[in-house]
Amino acid sequence: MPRIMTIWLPRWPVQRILVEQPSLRSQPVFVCRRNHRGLLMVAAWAWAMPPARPAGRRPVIEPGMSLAEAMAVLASAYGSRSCRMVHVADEDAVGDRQALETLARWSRRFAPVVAVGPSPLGSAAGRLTASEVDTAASDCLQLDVTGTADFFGGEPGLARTAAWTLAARGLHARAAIADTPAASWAAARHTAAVAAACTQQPARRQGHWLNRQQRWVVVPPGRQQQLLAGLPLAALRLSAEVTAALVEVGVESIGHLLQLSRASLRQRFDRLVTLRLAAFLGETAEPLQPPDGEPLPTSSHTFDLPVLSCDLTSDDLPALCDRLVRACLGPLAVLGKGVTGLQVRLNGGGSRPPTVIDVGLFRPAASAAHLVELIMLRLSRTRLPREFAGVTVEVVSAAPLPCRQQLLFDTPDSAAAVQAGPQVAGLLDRLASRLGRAAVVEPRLLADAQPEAAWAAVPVAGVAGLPPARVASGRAGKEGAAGTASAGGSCRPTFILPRPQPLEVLAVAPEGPPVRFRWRGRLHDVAQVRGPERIETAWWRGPTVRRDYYIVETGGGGRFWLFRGLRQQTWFLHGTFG
Amino acid sequence: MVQPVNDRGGYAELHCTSNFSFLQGGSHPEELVTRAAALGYAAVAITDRGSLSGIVRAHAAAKEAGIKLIVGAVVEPVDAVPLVLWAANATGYANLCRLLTAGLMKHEPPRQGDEDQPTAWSGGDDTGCRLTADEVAAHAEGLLAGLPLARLPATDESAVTAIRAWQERLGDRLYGLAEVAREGDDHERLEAFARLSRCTRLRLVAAGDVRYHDRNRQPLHDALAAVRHGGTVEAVRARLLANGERHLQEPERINDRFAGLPGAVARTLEVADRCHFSLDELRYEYPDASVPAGRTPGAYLAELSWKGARQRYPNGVPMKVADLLEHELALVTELGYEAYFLTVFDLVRFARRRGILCQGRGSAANSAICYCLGITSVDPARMSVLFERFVSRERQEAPDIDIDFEHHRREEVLQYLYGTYGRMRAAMTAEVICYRLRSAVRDLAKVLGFSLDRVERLARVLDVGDTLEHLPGRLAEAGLDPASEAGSRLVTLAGQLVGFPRHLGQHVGGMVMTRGDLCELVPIQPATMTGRTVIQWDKNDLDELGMLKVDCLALGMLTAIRRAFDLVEQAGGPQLTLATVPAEDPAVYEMVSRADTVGVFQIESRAQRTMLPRLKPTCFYDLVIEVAIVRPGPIQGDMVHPYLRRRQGDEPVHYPNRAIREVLEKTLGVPLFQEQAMRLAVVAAGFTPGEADQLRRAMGAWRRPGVIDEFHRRLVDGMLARGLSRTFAEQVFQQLRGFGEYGFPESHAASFALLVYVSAWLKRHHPAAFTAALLGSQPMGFYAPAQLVRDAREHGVAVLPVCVQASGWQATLEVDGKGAEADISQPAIRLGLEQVHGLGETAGRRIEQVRRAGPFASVDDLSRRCRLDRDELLHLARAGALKSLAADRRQAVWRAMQRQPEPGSMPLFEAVDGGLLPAEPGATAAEPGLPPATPLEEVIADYRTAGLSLTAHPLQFARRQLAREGVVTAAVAAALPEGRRVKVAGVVLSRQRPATAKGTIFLSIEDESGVANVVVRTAVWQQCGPQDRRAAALLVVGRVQRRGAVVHLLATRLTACQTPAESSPGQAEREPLVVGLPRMSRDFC
Repeated sequence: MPRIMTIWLPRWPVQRILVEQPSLRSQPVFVCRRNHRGLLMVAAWAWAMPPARPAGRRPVIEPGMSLAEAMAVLASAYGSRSCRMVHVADEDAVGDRQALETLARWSRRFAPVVAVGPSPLGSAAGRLTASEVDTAASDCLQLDVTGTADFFGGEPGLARTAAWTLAARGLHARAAIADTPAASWAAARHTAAVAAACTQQPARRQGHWLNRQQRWVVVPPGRQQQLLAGLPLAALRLSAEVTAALVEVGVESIGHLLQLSRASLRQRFDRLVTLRLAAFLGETAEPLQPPDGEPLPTSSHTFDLPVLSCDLTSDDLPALCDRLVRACLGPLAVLGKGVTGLQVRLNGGGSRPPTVIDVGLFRPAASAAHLVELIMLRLSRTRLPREFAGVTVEVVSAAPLPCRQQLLFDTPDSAAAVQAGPQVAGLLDRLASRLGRAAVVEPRLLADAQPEAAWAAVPVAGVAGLPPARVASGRAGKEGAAGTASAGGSCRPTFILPRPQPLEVLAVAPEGPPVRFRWRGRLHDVAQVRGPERIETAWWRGPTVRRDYYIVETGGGGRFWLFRGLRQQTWFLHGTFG
Repeated sequence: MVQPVNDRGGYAELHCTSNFSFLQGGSHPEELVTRAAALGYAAVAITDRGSLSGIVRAHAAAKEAGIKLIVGAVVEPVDAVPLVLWAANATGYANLCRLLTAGLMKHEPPRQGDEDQPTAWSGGDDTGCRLTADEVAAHAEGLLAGLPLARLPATDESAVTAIRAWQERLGDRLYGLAEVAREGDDHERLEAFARLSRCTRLRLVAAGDVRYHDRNRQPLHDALAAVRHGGTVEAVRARLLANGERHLQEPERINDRFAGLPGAVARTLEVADRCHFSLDELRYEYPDASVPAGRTPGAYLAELSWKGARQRYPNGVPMKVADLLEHELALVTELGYEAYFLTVFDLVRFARRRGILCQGRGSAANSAICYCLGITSVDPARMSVLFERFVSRERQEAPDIDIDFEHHRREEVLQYLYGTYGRMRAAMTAEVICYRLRSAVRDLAKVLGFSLDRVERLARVLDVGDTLEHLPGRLAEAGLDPASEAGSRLVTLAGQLVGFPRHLGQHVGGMVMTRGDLCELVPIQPATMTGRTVIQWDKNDLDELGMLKVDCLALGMLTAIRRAFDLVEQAGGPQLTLATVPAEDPAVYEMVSRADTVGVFQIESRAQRTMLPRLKPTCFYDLVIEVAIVRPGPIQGDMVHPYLRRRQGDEPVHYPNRAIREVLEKTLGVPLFQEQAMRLAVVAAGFTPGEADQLRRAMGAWRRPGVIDEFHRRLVDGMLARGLSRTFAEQVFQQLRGFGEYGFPESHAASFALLVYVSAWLKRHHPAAFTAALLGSQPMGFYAPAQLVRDAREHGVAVLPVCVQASGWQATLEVDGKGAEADISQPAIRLGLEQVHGLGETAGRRIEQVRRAGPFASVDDLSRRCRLDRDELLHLARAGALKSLAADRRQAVWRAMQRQPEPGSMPLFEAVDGGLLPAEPGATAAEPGLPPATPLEEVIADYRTAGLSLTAHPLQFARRQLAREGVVTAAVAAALPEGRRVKVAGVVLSRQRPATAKGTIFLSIEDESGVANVVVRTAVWQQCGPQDRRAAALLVVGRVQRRGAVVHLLATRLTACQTPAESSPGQAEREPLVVGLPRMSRDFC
């Protein structure tokens, strides 16, 4: 009979944040997700160290409450000042899962097989439809501890050690050992109740004397049906709908459910109910699935003796990198994948930390030469350690190589992208390696009436085949611009000053065009003027921008773009044509 | 002031979009018109997109400001460039209305329930007016048109084509609107316009494409655009106008702007001169009633009235009534309102033929004519003096009759009207749905980029009664500094937006009918509800133009009374009508004086029931007063207590002079009715009747400052001049001011009082029928079914549970089904299937019908014969309606949960293919593993599924524990002396926060012994947490307060009785008393 230990980490998303940022322990932390209407709903929350006991009742904040409501509850318990201390984080299921996988690796000290649970109950039960597979977020580890308990002085010792070792790492965890993953999962959620059942105390009184902080429990082999009978249906991970239906007819615990005939259950509910029951009792095997994902290739070279950087010739390092990169690319090429992220570590001699270079790419690359070039570009910007003992190249992320098929009917965009793609991406990679990713930008036109806000420098995102920058309709403010006579008007200068420069201007009429102005010490007589173009906008960002723009041609043939600020009636130069 | 702009002196703005182009214009039509007048414009046109909704307001404002208004609209044909249309004469106006109607009626109205979204209807980019260029051309007679050249295609050739297309259709009535807005290339544009004009011989007129009256509305206009497009201002900034030039410009700027286009400004006056239509020319004519050949309407009305009178008074028409009738008929003939009365009569006759109960009310409704025609049932002989404010000769005020119909059947009446008059001659009045503070803040906060979470919170802190002054404080409460940039932006914009129309709804019941085509007076559009059409004007617009409407309202109590009459008759009682219910029955007044009025029309609310034992009504007129007195108006005007004191003889009644005595005598010197307030202004302060009428209208507007001061001065001065004391004058003013909140006209009160009497009579003499009828007319009134049933049982009526073997869709009476405790003389009530939550009416009626063929043998039999699906069976099982077919409720639910075969599969083959039903043995049999339900669980299940339980009260089960904690029952608490501290627990029945009570909350809580009335001061309410405020059951600690026979509990602390099951158990002070009880409360706050 296998023995399974479940380590449950209550409110895992919050716990993870608190471990990563211990300074938040003094604040209420909410992890929220957006619902379909865009409202923030609480997914988990905690206040590790509240300043005092709540003034009123202890706040009851349940997952699924809107953040606003949760804040009201919090305020009523701790006073409105507590709301200002709140730290709100967005739910990050991927991050949670990754952190849990790290923890799983760490937990191999307790047992060889560690899975991130709860298991989806898929493989063993045969094909399940999409609606049957439950997509509950992961918040526990499941370990196959068959035969490993003796190293820890028996199962109780193992469970206790697991719970308290994690506690020492700042994690609140509950551990339970039972015959099946489902049973141990249920027991871990209800350690106190199960412990009470184990010690034969009346369950009703449990709340009054048992230690609620009971962190671990062991269900002796073959006794889960008896000892866990009192647990609520939720412990079986039945859907809320099924649970509600069962509660309605008075079936509230696992024990009750077991008394009903399976045939009549099958007639009323989907297959998952009976499957879960079978998995709980151990009638169906539910093997643990260790975290999937093949290891990404890594290769390293250790020198016999630490080498001094100054001893290396300019070809040594590229040659070494090339060898290591090729070693990594080999296994990937078989899978049809290319590298999108690469880490190069120059392992320092002795206790010195390694020098790490991260290389990110805009599109998956399978060319060793390209990768080495990128590494060298980065290395040339990096100060090398005086001496180092070895070099490691690790592929951090990989993605399938694009196999782009030529289109039969090219649109202009796609044709350009197909042709320019590799070269542009290569250039971008090189530029970004040299200057940093944030320094490679492209200008985009934005539809905004205020000229300074009508464009933005956007870091080049993603892979080649760049989405064509949205071409704004020249001038803002054409309601439903299509098909209207907006041809003129939107004349914008070739060069625009980053910020308008004050000018000395002579205008005849108070609202009239400029006649003469002084710029860079020279007087310019206005020969021709076009305008005004009045712009009043941006009130929602700050003070309203109110300007009258003129395009002027001076006697000297220069063309300038001036405006009069209507607020102070002062003149500015904002750009020049040609 | 403003200099004439050119030699002919003026400019007329021909293209203005008001905020009745919903979510597009940034100013009210009144603002545009007033500003245009102030700027010295010669005329101004209001041209909304596909709408004339704002035109009447503009018309009124233009008359006041003395500026010429041009009536127009913008049409956007699907196959041509848009066009501004102006009505040149009455024919043109009629054509414009017809045209818009034609376009609007093609539109599919949005489905109900989409109201959150700005739909096409409420002013998305589609105005809902679908037209083609040919349709426009077909209705072009009498119309002038302007082509906004800025919206033509960019290239000259296509622009010329577009212009020629319209020129062919409209000839010389087409002008080109030259519109520029300082966009940098104004000069080039004007040149381009001039070029087009030369090519096509199109005459150019200057125009402004005005969106708001003042430059400072630009932000609001931008924000509205964002609301329309459903994004933040930042997100939709590409669609915003680049500057704020589209306001009403100063005339000298206009001249500057169009200097390059000589004659364009002057030509605006040419257009304005060609448009000489005014809304004053509209002739509203009431439709001809079907008068038999050879008789005038007047003679026919008289004939019908006298015939009716003889029927009403079989023993001879009393002298008083005969005189009244003579007088009224003469007046009606003189003022030409015969057709109106005949139309109303026709409507009532139709309703009566169909067996729909109805009753008229309103100023004209309590006339002898209406009584004789059967429009009302309030006997003029039974009332003392009422008809002084009938149809007055001096004020040209239209008679006002509202008719209440049974609420389920009003639609039949409306469809009859549509059928009789046709879609083009009858339609419902619109109601302009305006931004209120909450909706304004919600929409603005969204477009200003606040997080949705914050938006929700802002909207939630705003109470219904909050006004703009409260806003900064409320924002601070929601954690937004009102002085911050974002905060002040929100406050400013909200201040401008409140009161803006958002979309057109429909009035509750106002029907407009005309002799000629209604669609030539005003555009008609489809309403949200299929089968209804509405005009684009609301009731104020109709008033302004003197158009009559008949209000056909839906009244739940009439449905209940009709049903009670039927039930009484079915149970072997007499056949009753509103008029034949025995009058002035002392037993009824005795019951009413005891405040035993649960379920009785109007006087069942808590406030009314506190008043009844003090007022002790003894005659019909006392009921009239009772109906009128418990209203915000009299309460705020502090008229209730003086009246009570005088009635009880504690205070002498003193009248300053005889005229005042005449007005106020029947209400002991205290003005309780709106008419009295007006008469008082006439006799005491020397108002003319016309001014008094203005006063009545102004009452509603008294919240606005300014209006009130003017009337205050005139009233007090007038009274002082007539030798009345200043104290008296101020007191009268305060009383009148109360009517500004909400006052009741006597005629309404009288009609309502009749329904009060009839329903009280039914309750007194036929409680079973009455309660069954009320249950069948839900939702209505103040009490939920649970309280109605409880009240009936307290009156000795047996109530039987819902059962598929016995229940109809609605509650019925069972003569032989008496319970043990029942009063022998009363039949028992069998609750109807409509009590079953979630069960649809069609399924319910089907069960009722199918059962006639024989009772159901089993659940399977039921489900097969009635074709019930799993959900329907579940609803029935949960409500306990299957108890007769299954062992108990749980077994029934378990049985109903069973999955059913795929729809469409043939029952015959099921057994053959091993279909689901009989496949597994034991599946249909009772499941022995199910634990039996405890009595408490049964009761909770009853509450959850039917809203009431016949077996026990949920608190009964917690009584022992409550008693340990010193909690007493409501009945015990009610017997305690004044000031005693007491704890009571109960299920919350209602929460009320009357506007007149300064934030005090009134709760009714119920336990197994009865109902306790709890008063919660604001401070106490604020102290308790949100869980406590919304709890289904409450534990109240408070002090007993006695006022005569009425006992209140003044709460000092409220705690939820029900702690959520998931709360951490160590913190809960006690085990939850009641778990899973749904909220029963009816909230009025």
